[in-house]
Amino acid sequence: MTEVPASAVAPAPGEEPQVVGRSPWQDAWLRLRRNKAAVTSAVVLFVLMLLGFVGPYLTPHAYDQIYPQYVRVPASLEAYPKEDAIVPAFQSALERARVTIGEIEVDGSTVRAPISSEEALDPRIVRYVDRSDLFENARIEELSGDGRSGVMAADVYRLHFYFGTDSNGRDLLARILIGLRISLAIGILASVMALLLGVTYGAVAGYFGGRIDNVMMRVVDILYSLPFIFFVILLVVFFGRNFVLIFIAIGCTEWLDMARIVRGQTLTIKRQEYVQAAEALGVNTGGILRRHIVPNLLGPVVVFVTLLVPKAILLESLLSFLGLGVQEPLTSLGLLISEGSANLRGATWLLTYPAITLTVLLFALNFLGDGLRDALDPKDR
Amino acid sequence: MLSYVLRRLASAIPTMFIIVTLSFFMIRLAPGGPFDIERPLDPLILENLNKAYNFDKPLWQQYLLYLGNLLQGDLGPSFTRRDFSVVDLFSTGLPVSIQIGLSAIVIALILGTTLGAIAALRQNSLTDYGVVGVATLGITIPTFVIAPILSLAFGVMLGWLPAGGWGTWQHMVLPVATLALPQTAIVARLTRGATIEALRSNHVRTARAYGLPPFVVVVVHTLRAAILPVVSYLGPTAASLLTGSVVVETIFGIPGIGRYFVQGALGRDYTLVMGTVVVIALFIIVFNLIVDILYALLDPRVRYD
Repeated sequence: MTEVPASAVAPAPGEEPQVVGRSPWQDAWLRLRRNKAAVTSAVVLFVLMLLGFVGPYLTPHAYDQIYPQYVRVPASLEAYPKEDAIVPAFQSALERARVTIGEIEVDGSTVRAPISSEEALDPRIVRYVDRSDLFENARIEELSGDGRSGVMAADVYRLHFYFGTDSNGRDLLARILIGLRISLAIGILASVMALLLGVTYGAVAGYFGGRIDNVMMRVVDILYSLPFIFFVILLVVFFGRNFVLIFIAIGCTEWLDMARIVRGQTLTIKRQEYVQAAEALGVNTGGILRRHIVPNLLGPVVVFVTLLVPKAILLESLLSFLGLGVQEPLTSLGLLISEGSANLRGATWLLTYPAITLTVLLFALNFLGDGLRDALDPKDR
Repeated sequence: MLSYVLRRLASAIPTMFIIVTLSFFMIRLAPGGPFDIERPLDPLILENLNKAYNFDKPLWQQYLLYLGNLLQGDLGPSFTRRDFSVVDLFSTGLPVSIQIGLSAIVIALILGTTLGAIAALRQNSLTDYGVVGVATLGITIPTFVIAPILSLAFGVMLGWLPAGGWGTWQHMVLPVATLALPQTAIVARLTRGATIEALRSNHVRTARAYGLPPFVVVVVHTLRAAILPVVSYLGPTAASLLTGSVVVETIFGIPGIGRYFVQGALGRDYTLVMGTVVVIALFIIVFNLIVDILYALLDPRVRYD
């Protein structure tokens, strides 16, 4: 089915043409590379991981920095404050200083207003202006001789909120990036946990077979009929909501399928001649498991893990949605979505951007998993 | 057949026993209690409360008491919803959850198998790609994203349907749609894959060779084989759908039993949590049994042993 690329056959001049064989892994790699959806997903996934990893360091705002004057501002490519918001904000800041205010002028990035007072102007009134998130570097210019009138000037402090801000006045972009990091980390760690548990358990059960297998699989059957999502919730509710516990709890619930798949594969592999040969040579059980069984299990396991990561992310999002996930000010995509759906009326961007991020992430993972399955599935060859 | 069912039900008893035991001790060993509130109770009141609910007895005695009550169908009083027993709560909430869950399953089954079969019969056509694309979307977007969007779009902006609440049939539309959407997508994908495989199988080729009309070949011979993975998927899924969804019930404000678990766990409502676990485990066991019976009916190669 796969055509042989020219490089696979490399006849050197004057020598016997030497055929270089391809391992099943190289075969799978070639097939994966030809799957456009899978390659695109891999690229998207790489970008998302990069964003989650370094993104939070690159955003102009910290994910937990609060801007009290920019609560729930819509997403915008333009800088805040908007032009028509500058004058009222300056006015209200000056009113607190209890001075008579003349006409406010905005000139590029500075704002000026003549001020006067019955008594000498106190230079400390600039703090009223500085205190606002909108202005910085406030100063009194052109102070008159008696010190009763002058011009209050301040630079407009421009901020970008490309994805808007949440109901506490925090930059949504920064929060999505940190949420992406947390969601990815939990997804990957939980899957690794399920992988280790499931592969060990399944390989042992499948390899020893007989009564041990019966008992071990009976345990898995019983665990299957437990409403496991509820045990995750129980664990998280009772033993605190911390990051480590969440991924351990998710990992502990997702290893059952893995154990079944691995056991089935092991049963097939252990009847192969090379395993019998190793046994005849006197290799011990651990050695056979490590050297022969587990490496040959990798194909289906890799596929299953790529499909497990989105499941774990979804489970974590569900926990966060129920308010049982990571704690503020840290966040995850699920938590952001839950906040977004609570603020849906009037602040739709709080739901749309996190939801799009999560959907793209899950899409990429699912497509990559499907692509890997197609590439590694021996039935398709 | 009957003896098989009875044997299966008998083997469910030890499973139930393990589930009840595990969850009982897990809940009890967790920190906190149902009477831990902001303002500590008077010690005398606390003592009386503990006595009334048998909390003053050793844990193993409480466990035996609970088991005894459970065997008589008594799940105990609820701690967070005073004046209600857990059985009361379930008898009002469960019908609501079942109503929504069952509608979602029926819709998902009909729509999903139809779409999946159509996609499989026209493999690699535009229809096929359309169905697969929409199905992937349906699987990927989580319920807790779909629910608020539907509620906003149809409930608030268009005003066609109530955005939440319970009472008339209109109240059912959005929750059922939310639940049915991902299930339809999964069923469609499963059906499509299985149909493609079944179309290549020997018995379908034979049926074609006999000159049976295409409709009969597809509906009688292909779909019967293709429905098997759907049945085994829908078993446990039906159990979880019928016992209510936390997300859907929270967002649409539906008085089902899906919310009880999280609420109960947060309020240390021991009996409510235990009751939910018991009910859900029962549903899972029963539906696994139904799946196995259906399997044998659909696939004559499967025999009860």
